[in-house]
Amino acid sequence: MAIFSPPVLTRRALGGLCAAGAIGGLVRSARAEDAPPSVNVSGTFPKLQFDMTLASTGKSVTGADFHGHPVILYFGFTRCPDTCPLTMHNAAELVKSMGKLGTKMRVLFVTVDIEHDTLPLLKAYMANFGAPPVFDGLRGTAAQTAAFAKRYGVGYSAPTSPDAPDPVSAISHTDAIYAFGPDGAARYIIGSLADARPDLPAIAGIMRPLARRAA
Amino acid sequence: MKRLLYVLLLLPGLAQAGGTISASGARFRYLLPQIPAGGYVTLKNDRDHKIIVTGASSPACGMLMLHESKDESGMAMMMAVKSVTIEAHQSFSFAPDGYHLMCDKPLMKIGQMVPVTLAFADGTSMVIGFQVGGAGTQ
Repeated sequence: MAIFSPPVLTRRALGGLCAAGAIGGLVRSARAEDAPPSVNVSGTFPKLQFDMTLASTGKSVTGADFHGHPVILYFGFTRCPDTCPLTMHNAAELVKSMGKLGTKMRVLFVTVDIEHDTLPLLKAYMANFGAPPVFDGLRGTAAQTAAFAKRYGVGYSAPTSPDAPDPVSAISHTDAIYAFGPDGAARYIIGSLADARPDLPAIAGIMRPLARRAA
Repeated sequence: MKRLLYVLLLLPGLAQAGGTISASGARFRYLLPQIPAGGYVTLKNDRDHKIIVTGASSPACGMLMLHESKDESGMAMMMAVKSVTIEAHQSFSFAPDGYHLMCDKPLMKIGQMVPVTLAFADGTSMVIGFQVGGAGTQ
């Protein structure tokens, strides 16, 4: 058996964030055990903008297609066995806890493993957590994915073959959970959504005002 | 061997060797056949000496590995670990967002109980029944 080496990066884009902006210190402090569940990044991160393909429909979408809804954006990959499904499940619980306002939310899972994560697989994966249009996956070409990730300071590397034997050593990505307002403006990084015991009421508390302004 | 396996499954928590290692809360989070399932369990070592978990295997997994999700140098990552040591009279939890078992190519269904064999450094092993749950398995 091969000896597996790191890394799969599955939480909080610290490296990426530091590269992307001057808020590294803020985010770093947000990682402490007693840290707030989110960090306000209003004005420091770019608006929601991308060109990708939507898993549920197979159609091309842009960031503008999600304006009118608060968006939770997550970069991950389906072969990640621990924190990616944990994060998506937490997002599902968050949406449920918001009741009717939860239906205004859009939770978008962006795959960084485009060779493995086909649109049908991404669609089936997201169905584990919720139905579209609230839960959906985004897949792009290599260039589209790279541009999207770069915009939000997410670094990743992924295998070039869908049959790469060891996804753990082959895929790595910095990972963060971003929340955007219905106007597309970046509002929060919700690091705690990747925790085993997230403070969902606190996260719902910051998302509800955004959802109330939804279309 | 098969009969022995089922006997052990009927008595979850009984160690095959020594009888003083117990397991609780053993479960897999299963999503899809082509996606690795995460396995979690709490082990209690009531022996008077430490035990070292050196590996895991299961007929329900194409490959089963010990993994850890952890933060390193300001970045969070998941990596394979060679062993896990549980000191005498201590408990250790494989739990979400920490140590876990990564079951590649899972052959299981939600609601099933599947066997997992943990191997220890002293050459002994232990079979534990893992309950298979869905996306909400915590």
